Amino acid sequence: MAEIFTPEIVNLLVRGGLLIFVLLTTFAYLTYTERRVLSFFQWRLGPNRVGPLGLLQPLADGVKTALKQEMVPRKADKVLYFLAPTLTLSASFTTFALIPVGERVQMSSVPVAILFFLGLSSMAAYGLILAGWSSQSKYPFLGSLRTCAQVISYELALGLCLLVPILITGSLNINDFGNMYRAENWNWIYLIVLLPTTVLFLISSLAETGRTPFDLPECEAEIVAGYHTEYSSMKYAMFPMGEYIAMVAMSAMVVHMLLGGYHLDLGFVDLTYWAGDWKLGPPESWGWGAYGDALSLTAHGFATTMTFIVKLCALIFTFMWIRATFPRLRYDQLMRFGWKWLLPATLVLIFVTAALVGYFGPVHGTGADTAAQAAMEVTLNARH
Amino acid sequence: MDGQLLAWWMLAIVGSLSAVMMVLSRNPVHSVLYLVANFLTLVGIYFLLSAPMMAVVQFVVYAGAIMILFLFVVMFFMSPEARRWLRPEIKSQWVFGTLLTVMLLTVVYIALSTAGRVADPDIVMGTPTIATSDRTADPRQELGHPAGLGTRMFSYHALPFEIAGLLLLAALLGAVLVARDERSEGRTHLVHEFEKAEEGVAEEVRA
Amino acid sequence: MLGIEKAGPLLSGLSITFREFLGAFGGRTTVTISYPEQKRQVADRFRGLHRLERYEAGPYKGLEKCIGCALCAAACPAEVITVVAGENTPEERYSPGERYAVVYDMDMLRCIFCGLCTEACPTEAIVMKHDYELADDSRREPNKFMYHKEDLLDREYYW
Repeated sequence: MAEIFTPEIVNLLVRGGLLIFVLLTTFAYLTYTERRVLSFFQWRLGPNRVGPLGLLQPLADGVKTALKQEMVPRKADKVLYFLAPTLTLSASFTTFALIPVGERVQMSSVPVAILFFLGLSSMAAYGLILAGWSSQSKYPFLGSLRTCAQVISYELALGLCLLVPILITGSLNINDFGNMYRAENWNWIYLIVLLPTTVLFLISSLAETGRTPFDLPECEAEIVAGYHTEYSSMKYAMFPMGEYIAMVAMSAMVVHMLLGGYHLDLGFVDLTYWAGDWKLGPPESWGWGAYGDALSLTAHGFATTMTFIVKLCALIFTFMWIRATFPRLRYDQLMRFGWKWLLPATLVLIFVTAALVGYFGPVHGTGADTAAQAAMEVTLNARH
Repeated sequence: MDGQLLAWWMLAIVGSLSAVMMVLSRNPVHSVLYLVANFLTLVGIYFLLSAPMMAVVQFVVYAGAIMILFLFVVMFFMSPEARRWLRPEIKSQWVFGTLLTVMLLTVVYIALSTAGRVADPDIVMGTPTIATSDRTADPRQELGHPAGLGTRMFSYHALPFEIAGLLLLAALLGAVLVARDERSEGRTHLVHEFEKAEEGVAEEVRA
Repeated sequence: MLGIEKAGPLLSGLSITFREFLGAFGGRTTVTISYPEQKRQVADRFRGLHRLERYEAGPYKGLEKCIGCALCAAACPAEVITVVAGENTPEERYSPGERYAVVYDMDMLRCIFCGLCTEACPTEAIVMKHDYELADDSRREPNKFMYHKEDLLDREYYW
């Protein structure tokens, strides 16, 4: 048996743990932010009790949720009942492993990341569906059927939307989406298709993550709380957790598709470039070895990550803004919109894109060739 | 034992077990999930075979989209009536099952014993496959890579591809035709009524 | 055309909500308040917790209005009120008439705030005020929801 804890493995484990920690914190503060932002929209005060400005609210919520009594329906399909929230959450976490959050700051650079992204979002849907089914009760079951139909309908549009930047860049690597704006042969004409595509992507991602105008799976006026009616305590908390993280992942995709990814490139000057290549992290003298390597980052990587986070926040705000504005759709409206409008619209966009790419030629992002080089293996994309 | 081999063994064991469990499971929903698990192990095996495109297609299309549809249908038909219908075991299942297994194993045996001796059609076409080359100059042209696969599928095999597409379309239309019945006609009628009423309200609001 | 025109109202909806969002940073008053510190003024006609009144002026100034007739207890549909009357003596005079309420208990867990006691009262001794914070933490002995005469008589109100 070879040595298990090779530097690569250590690197992966440390960064994976870090990613999960960051995502959980993000989730906790997203719940707070969402409540606060919605309160601003609605002339309310919002949670402002725990800690200054209510900033410790997520902590209190977490303690409360963890200490809640856990109830399992007697007739539930126990294995699936326990599996379902785990599935949702782990799928959402894994999605984030694929998404580059900065220049060379990424868990793993899978060459076919976009497709994996889609697959994982349907894996998360399995969790929701099974949650409803395994509860063996009426309303959760209806909720899970709704999730099923909704996810199937909108995942098509979601995937087809992603096809547009794929066609333009000729790459399945998410890095290339953000990079295409900086490419030598970038043509602003592609914005004609990218702009509507991003809007449609945003709409279908709302449906895919079950957020407000499309939150019929948990429509409280009709089916109690939908698929998670029978869940309590931490197992319940895992659903919103997965949902929020999926929302962040979708926002990240939009950032890569339309907002130029993690670059702060104004055309004449690339602002993050000035950060330089010096290393941030535990110094060598501490002797942390591979752990230190995993935790450190170049200044440039840090700057791009910050850029990305700022852009991401704008997108997440958009999600909250939409939630504050639109009422929930009726189910037949949802289906009609998905199949009769969204899907044809994305198909038209793909045709237009294909025509444009045929005429102007694809945009090769700076990372396209390296992606091809890495095609055969799941590479470790550390800062090395 | 290196990592790849270990991964292969794990995938193979889990895959076989889930396949067997899929057949043996009494609960149709469990069967569907065992099938999903099986597909996921296949994804891993495709990755080990350096075919990321195949792996991801398996993941997105089969384990993701199609199995969700399966789950949807199975969950819909899990009514007590349907269960009664499923209950009686067909005795001849065992006979046919054994027969088919023997046939399949024979085919696999023949395929394995003649492997390497059959001419690869792609070699004839002039583009090497994974089997014959470890890494060509341009990885984008390899069969495992999406670009290579796309080129192959839409240039060399365009006709079979389109025919398969047409076949699927025909199946789809057939399914739609079968699924239509009097009751659903009535429902669409209702939906139209509903839309009309909705428009009426909208006009009133406008007025 | 093709339903795209329906996006117009959606966008204007978004712009409206966004304007409201920005308003939050312009020192706008919120519709919610920080409750225990700030309290909303209730309407004059609001009828909350009861109070036993005293004469505030005139010849009987300082004496209780309640004469222990127990008409409130009779009127009460929820049997909240218990009155035990006693005789006034020249040495110990509580109310202008012959009798006064020795015991005046209200079980506020039963009260439905119908106000019939105040209507029944001949001397307008029992009235309902604006106090509404009636939550407490014990219904065992001592039952904190059992309001005695001394609780109701010179009760301090926050209005």
